[in-house]
Amino acid sequence: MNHDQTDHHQTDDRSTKVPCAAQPSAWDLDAGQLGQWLQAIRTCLDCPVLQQCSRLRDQLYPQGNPNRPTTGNPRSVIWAAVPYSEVGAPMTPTSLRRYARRTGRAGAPERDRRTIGLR
Amino acid sequence: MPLSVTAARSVCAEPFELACRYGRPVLHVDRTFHPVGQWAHQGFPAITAAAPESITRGLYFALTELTAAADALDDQVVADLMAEVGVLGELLVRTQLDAELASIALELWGQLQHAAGAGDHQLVAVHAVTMRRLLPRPERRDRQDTPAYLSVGARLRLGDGPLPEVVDDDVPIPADPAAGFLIALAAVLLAGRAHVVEAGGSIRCPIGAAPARVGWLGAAPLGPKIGMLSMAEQVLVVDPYRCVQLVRAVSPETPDVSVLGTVLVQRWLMDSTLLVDELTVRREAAVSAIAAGYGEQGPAWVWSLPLSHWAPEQFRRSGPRPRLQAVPNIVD
Repeated sequence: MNHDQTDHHQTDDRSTKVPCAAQPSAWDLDAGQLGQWLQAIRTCLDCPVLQQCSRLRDQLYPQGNPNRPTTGNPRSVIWAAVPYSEVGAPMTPTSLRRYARRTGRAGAPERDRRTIGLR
Repeated sequence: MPLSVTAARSVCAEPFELACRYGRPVLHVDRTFHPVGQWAHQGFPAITAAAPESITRGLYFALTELTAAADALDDQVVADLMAEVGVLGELLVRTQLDAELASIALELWGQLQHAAGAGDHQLVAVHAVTMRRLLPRPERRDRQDTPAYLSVGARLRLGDGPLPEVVDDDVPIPADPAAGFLIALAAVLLAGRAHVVEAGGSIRCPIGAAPARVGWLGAAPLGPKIGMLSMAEQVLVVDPYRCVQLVRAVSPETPDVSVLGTVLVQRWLMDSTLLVDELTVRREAAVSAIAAGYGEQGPAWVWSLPLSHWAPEQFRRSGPRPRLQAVPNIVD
């Protein structure tokens, strides 16, 4: 696991049970597979503490840049629905798929999932 | 061709052959400000609160159900909802006149289209959920909005599979209004209380259908005409008012046209029509007769019901099945 993946699952509201706390590896781009990552992004986008999570990232990464890779960004992690590559490049879900292919974590193609019913 | 796009200029190097340093065409975008990235960094806030509510609410539920249909790998519904999202998204951008929103919506819509075109259901679902973040969460779902997605198996609530084949007009009618209507409609046609014709405006028994199952006695139609049937397109198109009036003779509990039409649309058993003008959106629980190919003689709005709702042999021409014939080997 990347050392940059600090415990971002803790939010300002400590009493709130955030979804990523139950299975943090799905938010870790050094672990898991593309399918888990895409599901993690969806979970974030429906998360009631998404805004607080973004603010926490801004506090912990004040030099972060949403437009280009930088050491000021988180690395190898999905944080507040934004995936960051190993060099801190913010990615879209589409570029996350390319990243998964490049790193050998793309999992089974969709047509195979249809056949074997993994949904 | 190497192409560099910056905030200030766009450069297209020429000639193509000399400039192609990468061995294949490359688009290099170098922007100092990326509206989608900025929006995502801010936690995907809703930025369309000022848009007309009928548009944002309609788009919100269309995207919600697009996600559900993508999860269910339902390509037909995904294609339908993509068209709906495209129309509503265009309306949203046009009514907002906000450059930042237009930029974000355009990019998200492009990604969504790319994923749908590639048949990548996982990405379709993620992009739909992302795009939905642009919109305020509606308090409730209106009957004008896209109904909650139902998988094919959940649309007819009979509990034990598809509709049974109706073989006589004394069939028990299910209590469920949608299933009850479909069974009663088949019984009406079987009893000769009404008939349907071949699609395309001709007055003849539908090609490939069993005459006795679609209101015909040989070459003679029985009762009033209530619509048309196309075995080729696997669809039954009916005049809602005539149809419900006749069905009530078999099943008195059948709701009126507006209630039943809404039920059929809510259950994803029938197509509806989204009517969009400059500022508002509304849904008609029917399809245009002309669009459905019902001809100029039909009513303005009709119900278009896929034959897959009924038992496979419900309307099909019965008769001896073709036999396999032995074919001798052909030797040169």
